[in-house]
Amino acid sequence: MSVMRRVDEQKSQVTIAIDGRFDFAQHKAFRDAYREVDAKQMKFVVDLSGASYLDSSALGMLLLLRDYAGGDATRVTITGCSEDVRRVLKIANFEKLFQLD
Amino acid sequence: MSNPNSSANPNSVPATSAAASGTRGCALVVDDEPSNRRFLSLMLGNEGFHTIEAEDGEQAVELFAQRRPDIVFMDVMMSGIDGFEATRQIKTLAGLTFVPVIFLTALTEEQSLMRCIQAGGDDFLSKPFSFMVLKARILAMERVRDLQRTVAAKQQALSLLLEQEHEEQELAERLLSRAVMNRNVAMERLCRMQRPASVFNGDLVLTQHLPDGGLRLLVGDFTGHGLAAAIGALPVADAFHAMTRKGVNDARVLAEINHKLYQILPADRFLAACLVSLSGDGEELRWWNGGMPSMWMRRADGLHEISAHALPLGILPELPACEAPRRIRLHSGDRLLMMTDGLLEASNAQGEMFVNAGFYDVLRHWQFGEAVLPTLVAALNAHSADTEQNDDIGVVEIPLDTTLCTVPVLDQEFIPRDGWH
Repeated sequence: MSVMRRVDEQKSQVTIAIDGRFDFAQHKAFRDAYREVDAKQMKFVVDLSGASYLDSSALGMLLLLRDYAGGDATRVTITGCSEDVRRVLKIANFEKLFQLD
Repeated sequence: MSNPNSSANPNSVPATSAAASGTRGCALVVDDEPSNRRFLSLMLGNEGFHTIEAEDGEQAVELFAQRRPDIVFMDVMMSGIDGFEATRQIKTLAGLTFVPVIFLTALTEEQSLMRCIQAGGDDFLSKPFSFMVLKARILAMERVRDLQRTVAAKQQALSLLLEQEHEEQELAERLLSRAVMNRNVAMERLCRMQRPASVFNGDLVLTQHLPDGGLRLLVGDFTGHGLAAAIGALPVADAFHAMTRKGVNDARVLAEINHKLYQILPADRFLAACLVSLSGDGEELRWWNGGMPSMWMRRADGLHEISAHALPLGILPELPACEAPRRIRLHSGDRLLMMTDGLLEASNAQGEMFVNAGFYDVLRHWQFGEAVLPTLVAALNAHSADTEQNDDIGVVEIPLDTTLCTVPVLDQEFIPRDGWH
């Protein structure tokens, strides 16, 4: 269980990678990963390739990030979804709110 | 740290002064030899302790009970009850509070030293001992004691919070059952299974008749549990019941609920929901699925999946037009199955989710015109035997026929609206 952040200045991109269960236990770490980033300058990528599970509070956290990034579908990309994770995102119709890769 | 007042006459120190500033608390010195007691008291006084003295085991236990010292120095060999027994009784009296007991003993063989610890002692020093060693041991014990006190204080704060949390859950439960659920209708006609993971889960079931006699049903799942979810449920229920009784159409009810939730809930909270309305003549079903698992409809010609076409409620300020409710013509015997994601994600002992291990088998064997819920519950029980439930599970199965409906409202001036046009 961990949240890792990588900043790519050249691409103006912040990647937040979640490992293990993405649930309420990650709330603080996930918030800390983006709250000092300048949302006007940077785009966000949430890398879920290491995430085994996503619950509804994780969906809530993604919404908070989307809000932080300006509420625009193009500013937050979600990558590396496993089948189970993709199912949860699809049920919630989050492809309308985020770019899913 | 020295306190000359307490060293002048250790016995005269009142119990309350143990909390006075600049002191290290109260030390109980137990020894049957007066000179030993005086000697140690003097030394402890110089170190900043108030001291009280006991000349045997009985007196030690008695003084401990009365004065609750912060640390105890215990002799072993005394008339009456010895140091081992006195320590046992003191440790019992202390309960969960950690009060270090240091044995000061002339005994040297390892067996006896072992007995000191077994009796509940925390450390021992063999007489004669040096001042410096004693001071060091006291410091070490104080460190352990302070750590224990910090942990105990946190523990207490935590159990207080848990208590509050539990009260809030019960308040939420009460709010939900009194203010939200008790306006529901025809609940006895629905086949339901509800398994909350906590006292109050975020699951919501609302039913109300439309003026044409038809039935409208909302099955929802709030992010989060407890009071936050119950507070969100209140305006949802108000809008749902009032607008349904007036025959307001599905799209407007959804727009109103979405708008209210968008206004009151923070960005990370939302309501995934299915709204279905059965017309008063039982011939048409209107449905809307915002972020809930697919509904399943068993009809004569097979199984139909009704998957989420819309976002959950409370995320966007306005519902997009492409997410409007849709309609299906019904035939006799059609049945509808709705569920929250807790059912699909219930895991078995191997960590497999129900959706990947058995759920679709149940659906495949669902016979037309028959209830599927009993089979579904049996399969779920077999699947999740010996595992702990993590999320709320809610399932509703509805026979889509006029037994759910009521007589249309006729005593009104206007033609009963069916909640569609």
